[in-house]
Amino acid sequence: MPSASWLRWQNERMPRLAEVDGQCAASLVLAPPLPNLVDENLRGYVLLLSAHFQGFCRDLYTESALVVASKVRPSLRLLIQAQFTAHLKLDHGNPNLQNLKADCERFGFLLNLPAVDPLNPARLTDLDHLNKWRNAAAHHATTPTGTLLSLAALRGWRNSCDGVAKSLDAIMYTELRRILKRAPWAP
Amino acid sequence: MAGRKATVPLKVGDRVKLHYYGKRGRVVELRGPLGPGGKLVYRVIVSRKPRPVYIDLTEDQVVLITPANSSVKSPQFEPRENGEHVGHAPG
Repeated sequence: MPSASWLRWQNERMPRLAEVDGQCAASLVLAPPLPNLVDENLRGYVLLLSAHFQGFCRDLYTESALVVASKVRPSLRLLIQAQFTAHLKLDHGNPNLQNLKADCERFGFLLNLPAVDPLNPARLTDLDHLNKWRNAAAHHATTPTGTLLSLAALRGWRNSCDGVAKSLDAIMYTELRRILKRAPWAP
Repeated sequence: MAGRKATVPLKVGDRVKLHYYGKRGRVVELRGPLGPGGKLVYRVIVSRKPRPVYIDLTEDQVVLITPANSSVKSPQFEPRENGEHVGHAPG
């Protein structure tokens, strides 16, 4: 029972990332090799992957908030919407576990990603690496230790983002259904 | 949702009137069809003391202010750049 946010992730964000992936792969086999171009492409890929995952998380949060707000009378609705929009971590911060928890838990439940999928702990480690490399690329900062930036690593991080996105979508559906006592969005 | 549905999708920078709120604001981001039933969602900045507030609103909660129906001067703030990493801080 996917949300509109999940459908956009699957049908728009992931295909766009696949095209960037293809561009990176093509730059790796250029003759003569252009290592600077490869490096720039990989850094661009990191930024875009983090941005699209953050975009998905923001979309899902907003979609969920609007479903909740739609259940109150119109004169109160704007107040609820303003409260949900205020101080959203994902508006400005990276889509790391801390920010995901802070925003999702505004719906009144504890976000426990490892509990819904045994693969999520490894995925969250990947997400941490992704965000460290995202900051390094965005700010031209010191490169993170422990992981090398490569196309293979990026493909793994993209798959992990996909897995976490699917878990988040399922969690929000379950929690909203519990809160609202009805399905939050049409199957 | 109550209120009139906007007939034409809004653009970043459009001035709008908010139903039930007695306020006017400006569209700063197009969020897409995230509302119940696939309604379009806009992030709107609304002038309020001590500081402006941002609200994600569905298309039927706002009405475009045109020169013909506008009787107040424009809010005194600039729209935020439309992007997912505006002011993005590390961590």
